[in-house]
Amino acid sequence: MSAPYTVLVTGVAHGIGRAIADRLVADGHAVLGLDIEPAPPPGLAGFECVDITDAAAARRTLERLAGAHRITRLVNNVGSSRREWMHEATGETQRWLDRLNLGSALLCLQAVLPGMREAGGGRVVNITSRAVYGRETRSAYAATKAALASLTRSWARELAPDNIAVNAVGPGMIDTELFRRNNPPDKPDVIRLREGVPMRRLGLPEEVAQAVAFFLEERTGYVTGQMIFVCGGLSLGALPPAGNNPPAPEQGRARSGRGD
Amino acid sequence: MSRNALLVGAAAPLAPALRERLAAEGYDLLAAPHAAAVPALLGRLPEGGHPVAAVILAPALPEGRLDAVAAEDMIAALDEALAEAGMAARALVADRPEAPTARIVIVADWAITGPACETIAAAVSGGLVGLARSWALEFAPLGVTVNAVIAGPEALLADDAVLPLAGPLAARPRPDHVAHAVACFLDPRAAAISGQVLSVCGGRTPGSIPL
Repeated sequence: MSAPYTVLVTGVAHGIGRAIADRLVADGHAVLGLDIEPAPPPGLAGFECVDITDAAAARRTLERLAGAHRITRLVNNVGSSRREWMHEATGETQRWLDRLNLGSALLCLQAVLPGMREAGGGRVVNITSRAVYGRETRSAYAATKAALASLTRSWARELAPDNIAVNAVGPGMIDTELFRRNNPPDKPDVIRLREGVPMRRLGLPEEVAQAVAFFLEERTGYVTGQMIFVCGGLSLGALPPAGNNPPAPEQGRARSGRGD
Repeated sequence: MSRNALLVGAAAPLAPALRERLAAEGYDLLAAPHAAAVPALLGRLPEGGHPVAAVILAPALPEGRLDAVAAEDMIAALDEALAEAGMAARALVADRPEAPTARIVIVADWAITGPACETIAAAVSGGLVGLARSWALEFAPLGVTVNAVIAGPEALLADDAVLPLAGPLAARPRPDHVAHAVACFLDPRAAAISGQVLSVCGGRTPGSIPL
């Protein structure tokens, strides 16, 4: 375990954010949490209730937190999603997610940057998604997560001279309340993805927290601009149910196509 | 059948090269200054005039150090680029599944690869490619292809400069190179190519992480 540090985690009330906070508290770190719901996990060193889509209010809260704590780690976890076909889109979902999934990340990073520089370095982990590679019924969400992946690369380059590493963790189908709400089990696109997970199960929030903890660890200081997918192999591409199995001998011959 | 092609972002730096190439391909050009103008433009078209192809150009966005970028400015740029592109795609494809625009290409900025001090452009271009990949999945049952072209950085420079640390380039990327990649994706024979991201950058991506 690395030396204790102070870490700000956004969206800690539920799901992946809560699991990340729980993990970092268990590892002995001072965890500061933000959420719109007044439901902090136990053991936090601080918690603020704020609607982070309100940039002015969020900025005030973040400045207060950064002034009171020496934050050298940031986990931009807060985010949401909404199932929506393109023929239903009005732009409202995109505008909401632009603020929640992306504006929040920039606001938080700007608030903690001076402290990280003063401390001689820091770590940032952005929670993206396997959907950075595209997802039907979720184009607004996928766009914000692909944008966050792009920001991870840009911020990694810009902050590398300050010894601040910026990385991303891309969850796949993780068993959370949000996932269950957005993924009706009987819908064809959900069935296709669920059955295409090579590991044949949903992921656990704690498994995402493991990847986050790795990026925050002291010994991971030379890794920046990278993205780890925690997706049971789904980012390899969805396969039909038989796709994990070795081909039958006759299939193998047919696939080679050259008689070898 | 219509030979109309819609160019969205008619004032973008790459627009002249796209206009020239699309005209050479035999398309009749329609132009929208930005994605927000697309639904109304399509609504004014005569019967049978719906475009068979559409090209959406990422807007030119200001550079600036991360510390100096106002979150409100980034959000406004994202809203304008992504939310309006979504409404354009709805009008082009989703609202008319019986005869949709069959080819969409998004031209994104090199900022998607993560140069420093390009927070807003990185977010917008990353988001546009996320849209392209998602639309490719969602529109596939309609026979619609959606792809993305990443314009190499020199394609937007006015002079002949090559950016430092470019490495060995097969060619300095030019606007007409970008237009050629777009034309390939628009070709009726490219019906099985969808959800792809092609960098037109002179060959500088080998040795880098894929997007």
